[in-house]
Amino acid sequence: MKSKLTSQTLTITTFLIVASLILGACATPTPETVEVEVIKTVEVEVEKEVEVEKIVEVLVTPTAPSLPEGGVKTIPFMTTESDPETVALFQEIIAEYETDHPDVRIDLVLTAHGSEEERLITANAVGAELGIVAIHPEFLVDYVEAGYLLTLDETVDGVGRDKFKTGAVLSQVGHDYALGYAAGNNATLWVRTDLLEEAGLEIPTNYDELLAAAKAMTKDTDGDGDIDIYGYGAPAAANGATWLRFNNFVWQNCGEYFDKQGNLAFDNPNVLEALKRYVALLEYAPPDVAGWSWFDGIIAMTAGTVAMHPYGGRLGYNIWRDKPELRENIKVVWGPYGDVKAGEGGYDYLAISANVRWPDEARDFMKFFFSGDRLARFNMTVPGHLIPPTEEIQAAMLAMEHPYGSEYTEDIKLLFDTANDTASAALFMGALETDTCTFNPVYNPMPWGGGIFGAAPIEAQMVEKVIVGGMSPEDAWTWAYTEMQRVADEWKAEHPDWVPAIDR
Amino acid sequence: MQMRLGKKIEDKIFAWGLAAPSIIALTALSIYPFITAVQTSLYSINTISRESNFVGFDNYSWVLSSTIFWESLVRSFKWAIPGVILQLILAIICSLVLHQELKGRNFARGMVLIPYLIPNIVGSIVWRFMLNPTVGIINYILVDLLGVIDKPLMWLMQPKTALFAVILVGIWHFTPFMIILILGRLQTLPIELYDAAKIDGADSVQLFWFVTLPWIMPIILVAAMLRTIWLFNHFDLVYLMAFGGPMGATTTVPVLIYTTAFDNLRMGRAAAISMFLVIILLVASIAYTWSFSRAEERLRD
Repeated sequence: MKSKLTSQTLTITTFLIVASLILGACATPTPETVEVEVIKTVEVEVEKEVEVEKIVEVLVTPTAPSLPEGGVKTIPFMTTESDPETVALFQEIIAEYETDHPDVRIDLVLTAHGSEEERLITANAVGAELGIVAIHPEFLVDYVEAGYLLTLDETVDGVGRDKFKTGAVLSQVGHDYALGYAAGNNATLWVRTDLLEEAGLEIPTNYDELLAAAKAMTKDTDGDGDIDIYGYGAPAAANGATWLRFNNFVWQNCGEYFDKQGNLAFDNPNVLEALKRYVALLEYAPPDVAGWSWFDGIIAMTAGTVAMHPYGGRLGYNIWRDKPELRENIKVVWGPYGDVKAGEGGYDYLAISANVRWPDEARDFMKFFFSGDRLARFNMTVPGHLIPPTEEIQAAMLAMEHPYGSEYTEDIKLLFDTANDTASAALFMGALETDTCTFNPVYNPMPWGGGIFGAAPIEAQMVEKVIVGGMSPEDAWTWAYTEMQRVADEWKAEHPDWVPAIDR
Repeated sequence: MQMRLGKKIEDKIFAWGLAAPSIIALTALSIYPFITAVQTSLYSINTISRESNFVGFDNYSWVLSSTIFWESLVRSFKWAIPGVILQLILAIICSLVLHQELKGRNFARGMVLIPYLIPNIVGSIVWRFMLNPTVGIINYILVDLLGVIDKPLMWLMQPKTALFAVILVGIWHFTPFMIILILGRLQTLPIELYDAAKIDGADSVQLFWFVTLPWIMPIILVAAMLRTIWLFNHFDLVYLMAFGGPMGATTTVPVLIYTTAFDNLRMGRAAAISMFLVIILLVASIAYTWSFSRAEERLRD
C-alpha cells in the first residue's frame, strides 16, 4: 500500500517538475528596459518665454544570450514583400550575408500587407521574438513610447546619413528607428493610349480633361447594352488603397487633414471639392470598385475592362510581365486631380524589434542590406514601383541591365521624378499649406495618425459612405472631419504635453 | 479504520494528481485569460503603448450606449440563427440520404466532408473570387448560363447582400459537421424500432416523425446549440470574407471586438464587449445543457 502511494506521488511529482521545466525553457529572455528621462530644452516663441519640455523616452537594450559552440544566431526577418521575384532576391541577399557570416541565419517570414501591427503588438505583448520587421510609420510614436523598437543611429550613420532622402529615415526624440527601403508613388495614373486615340483625345493634363477622357472611354463595345470598358477605376472601399488614392485629390485641391500645428484642416471646403471630384470620376468606374483593394485595379487593367487607373510602378511592370502586347498601349502620367503639384507617397520601412535576441547581428544585416548594390538589386525586382531612398541607388538602378527597365526607361524616370512631389500625410502633417496652396512637406509626424489612417481610414470610410451607402458628399465629409477631430482630441487629452515635431 | 482513512487520503491525492494537469492547463489557458480580460475591461488601455488608466465601468457604459455594438449584436444573431437552422435542415436531409444503402455511399460520405476540411482562409479566398461581380463564376452562372438575373450581383460589396453571402458560405463550410453528428446518431438507431413501427402500420413519414426524429433529436439539440455558440463566437470566416464591411454590414460582435482592439487601438473597450459576448454565450450554454438533458429524459421515457 505504502509503495503504491509512493509510486503514484512520485509519478505526479515527476510530471509536475518536467512540465515546469518545459514551461520554463519555453520562456524567452526579457530584454532589459531602461526608462530614461531625456531633458530637452526647446525654445518656443510663446510670449518671448523659453519653455522647457520634458520628454520621456524608452530605450531598450536587449542582452544578447551566450551562443553554444557551433550554434547559429537566428534572426527572424518579417516582410510584406511577397512577389516571387522579390522573395528570390531577398533569399539571394540573405545567402550572400550568411556566406560571410556562417554563425548567423536570417529567417525570412512572409506576412500579409496590413498585418504588421498585429504581429508587432501581439509579439511584444507575449515576449515573442520578431527580429527585423516591416512597420507602418503612422504608429512610430506609439511604438517608440512602448519601447518596441531598437535604435538604428549607428546603422544610419554606417550607410551614410546624408544620402537618405527626406522621410526615408524615421526618427523620434533624437534617435533613428526605421529605414525606408523603397518609396511608393501613389500619385501616378496609368492610361490606355490606344483608347484615348480612338476617342480623339490627348493624355489628360487637368481634372476636366481627365473627367472627359473617363466619360469618352466608357463604352459598350459589343452593343449588348452592357458597358465593356470603363473609363476609370479607383477603389471606394474603407481600406488603405482608397485612402492613398483619395489623398492625391485632397492635396491637389488645396485641402489637408491637419495643419503643421496639429489643428484640424479637413473641415476646409476644398476637401469637399476633392471628394466631389473623386466621386464624379467613379461614375465611369466598374460598380465593383466598392470592394476594390490594392490589386483589383491591376486585374481590371490587365483584363482590359478599365482604361485608366491610379497606381504606382507595379501596374506597368505586371502588365508587361503578364500581357506584354497590352503594355505597349499604356503610359504612366502624373494624376491630374487638381491644380497643386502634390501627391501621396511614402516609404515602406524596416525596423528592428526590441526583443531581438541578437541585436548587433540584426543591425549588421540591416546595414548590409542597405549598402553596396543590394538595395538597387532589390528595388529592381519591380522596376519603377520600388523607388529607392537615395539618389545614388536611383542612378544605379537606371543604369542596370533589365529588359523592362531598358524598354520603359521613360516611365520609370517619370515614376522616380514625380515621387519627389509626394509625401506621406501621416509623417508630413500639414504638408499642404492651405492658406497659400503650397506643398511644403516637412517631417512632422501626426501622432494620432494610427486612428485616422488605420485599417479602415476615416477618409476611405467617407468615400464608402457616398459610393456604397448613398450618403451625400456633404454629410459624409461632415462625418469624417468630426471623427478626425474626435480622434485627435482623444489623443491630445492623453498627451497634454505634446508639441509638434516641427516646433521641437 | 486507520487503513481505510489512509486509503481515502491516498485516493484523494491520486485523484487530485490526475486532475492537476487539466486544472493547470485550464487555469493557464482559460481562467487566467478570462480574469485578465475582466481586469482589462475596467481600464482604458492603448493597444500599442499599453498605457492604462483605471476607468471603472466606463467601458461597459460606452458599450451599452454605442449604436455600433447593438447593430453588431443584431448582426451576430442574423449570422448565427438562420445559418444554424439552414445547416440543420440540410444536414438532416443529407444524413438521411447518406444513411440509405446506396451505391457509392462511402465515397459520398467522404466527399461531403471536404468543405469542412478546407481551411477558412483558403475557403474565403476562393469564395471571394467566385462571388466577384466581374470575374466570379457565381454571377456568370446566374446571369449568363441560367439568366435568372440581368446584372451581376455585388455579393460582398453591397450592405444588403454581404451578410447573406457570408451566411451562404458558412452553410457550405459548416454543414458537414452537422452531417457527421446526425449520421453517427442514425447509425446507432436499432432496426427493431422500425420493424415494430412497420408492424403497427406506420408509413415512411410516420417512421421519420415517430422513430427517426426522436432518436436523432438529442444530437440535433447538441449540434444546434454548439453550432449557435460557435457561430456566435466565430471570427475568421466572417472577417476574411468581407473584413466587417461594406459599411459595417458584416461586423458581428467578434469582428467588432477585433476592430476595436486593433483598428481603434482600444483594448479596454474590446474587453468590455467580449464580456457581453461571454454573458450571451453563458446563457446559450445553460440552455444547451438543459435542453440536452430534457431530450435524453424524453428518449428514455
